[in-house]
Amino acid sequence: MSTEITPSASPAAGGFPTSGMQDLSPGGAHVRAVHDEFHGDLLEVSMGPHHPSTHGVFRMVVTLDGERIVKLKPVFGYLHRNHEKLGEGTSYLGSMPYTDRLDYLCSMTNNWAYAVAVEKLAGLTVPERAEYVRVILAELTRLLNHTCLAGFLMQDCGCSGTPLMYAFREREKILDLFESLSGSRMMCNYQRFGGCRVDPPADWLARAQTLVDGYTAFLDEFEALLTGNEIVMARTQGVGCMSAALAVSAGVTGPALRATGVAHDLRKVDGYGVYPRFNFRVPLGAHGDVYDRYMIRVLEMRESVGILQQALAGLPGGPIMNPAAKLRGFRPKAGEAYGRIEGPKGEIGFYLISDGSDPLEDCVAELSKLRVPLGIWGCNGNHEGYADAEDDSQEMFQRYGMRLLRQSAAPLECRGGRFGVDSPGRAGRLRARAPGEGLICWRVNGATVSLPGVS
Amino acid sequence: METPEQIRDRLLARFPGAQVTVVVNGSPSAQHSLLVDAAHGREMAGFLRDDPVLKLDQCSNVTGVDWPEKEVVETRKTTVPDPAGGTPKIIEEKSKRIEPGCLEVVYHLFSVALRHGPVVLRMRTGNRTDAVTLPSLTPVWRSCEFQEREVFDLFGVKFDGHPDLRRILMWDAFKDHPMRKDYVEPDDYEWEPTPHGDVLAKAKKHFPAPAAPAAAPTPPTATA
Repeated sequence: MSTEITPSASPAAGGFPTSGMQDLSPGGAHVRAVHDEFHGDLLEVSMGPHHPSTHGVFRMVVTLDGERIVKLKPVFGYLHRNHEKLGEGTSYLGSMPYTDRLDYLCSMTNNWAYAVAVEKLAGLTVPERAEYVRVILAELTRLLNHTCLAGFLMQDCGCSGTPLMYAFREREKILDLFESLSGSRMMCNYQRFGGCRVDPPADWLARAQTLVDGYTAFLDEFEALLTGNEIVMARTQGVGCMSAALAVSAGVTGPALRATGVAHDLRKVDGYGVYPRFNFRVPLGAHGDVYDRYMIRVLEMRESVGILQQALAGLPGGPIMNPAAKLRGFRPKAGEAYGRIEGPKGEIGFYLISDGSDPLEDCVAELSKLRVPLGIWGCNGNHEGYADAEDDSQEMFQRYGMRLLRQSAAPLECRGGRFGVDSPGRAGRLRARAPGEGLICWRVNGATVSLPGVS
Repeated sequence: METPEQIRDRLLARFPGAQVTVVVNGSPSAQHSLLVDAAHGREMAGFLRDDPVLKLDQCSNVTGVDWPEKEVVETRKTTVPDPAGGTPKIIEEKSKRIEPGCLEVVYHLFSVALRHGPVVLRMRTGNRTDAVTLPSLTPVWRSCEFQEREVFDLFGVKFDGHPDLRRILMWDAFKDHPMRKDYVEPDDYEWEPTPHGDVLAKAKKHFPAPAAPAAAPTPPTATA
């Protein structure tokens, strides 16, 4: 964000004299006037972290020269969750639901980028049908993202209501499609290493086709409202200009980079997936201002509609998962991989280093060394459920001579009494209780243990 | 694009005295990397950016890796023949050696102009405690600015020549570096020192109080 409006290529100098200005560090006074001999009176304002236009918790320390922003320092970290640290403690698949949460619009493409990195690390191939489905979902995500972003832009310009509601109307249709395919509207958790989780049925594809057929009409309506609108043009043309050289050096990618005129789209550059098979163009801007960034997104949506038409028409049959891709005991050997794709917001890449071990398995192996007379019992957590990894954990427990309870119970004999070990589910509890036997006494890490004769 | 070995040879020819090693990546991705020494790091990065054959004008990703000190156990088997003519004995000798730890910074470089990449550049610190300074590559690629701040914040690598090296995700008063492997999470991030609550007891258990100094001899009490 800062790169869009910071006027200089040199981070050290800042592009304008900073003498007489204090260093803008987080936590300072909220508003103070700073005198500067070249800029007259500059005003420093702390904007956020709860400002509606930040679309999240995010603060900016902006220096204003009248209505012009001459310097901006972003302050991050209010919602820092450190997915990297979380990822170190879980399995490869266990990180997949975390990638949904990186961004509330693009979970499908975030999943895909992570899957690409893991597939590179493990040397997995993806069946053709899954590659097509991935393209269909990625382009639907691009439509969803760009439509919403154009709506948000108008909302933040002060045009409250209409454009954003038009955008959200279309967004709902796409989210309905995502929901019926993956079970979730925004946190889809759909891609898997070596394929996709569910094969889209014929009626889903027909619904997607209807949506795609109608999208051009929506874009025409949206553009009639905005593209030639005098107020939109006055508010966005020549605002927030960024040079191509700065954009490349600052690592700007996606529509913001292409708005500066740099032809760089990973769908063309890397040609990942089955994108080389589709005929589409990459729109480029000329000015690098806000209007160009808006126009690029509108034009990209029109190209996405074209890609979707081609992908839906050419979707081949066959498996949706690589049969060689095992979820069970998935352990890429030691090494590293950086995988990237063209997400709707630009390049999204994941960098993974494997030491060849599985932290979860190490933990289970350590547990199995416990010497307990009645055996060790486990149960699944909710992340195993989200990641479809319940079978995997059960298999791993069995490998180490332990038992995992899944809606089931086991009777135990001890000193003449009978115990029941239940999984955390009503069905299991009922099954464990023989007539006249004990009641639930305590819960051990989710599994309930019942003792005889205790109420 | 040139292979990492070719890039290494050209770097060594251009910068005499520099150290460049190709780190082989055993995974099917086969993204091998170049480990360069800190002293020549920035000059070599500038060369990689400006070289007409490579033109690595985009630094896509900067991240840190913590390699903690680890104990490597090596087993050596020697066969000792039995003088009585029986089966030879196999004696196992186990030796332990400590592999020193370090912090590593990894840069993934691409060329937007020539559409190739990645070239993976790595630099390592001397250790994990006091020799943790590496040259900043922000003067070469501006995209390093925030990402190096992140590596500083989460791993504790100090970047020499960075224009604005501050914590970026954690707050300024935060101590320690959360992405290090030996990081211990506090009992409660929102803990406030009140005399009540379980949190205080937990914290006391977790961080034992320093040993009290030897008690001074009690002065004789005055009698009234």
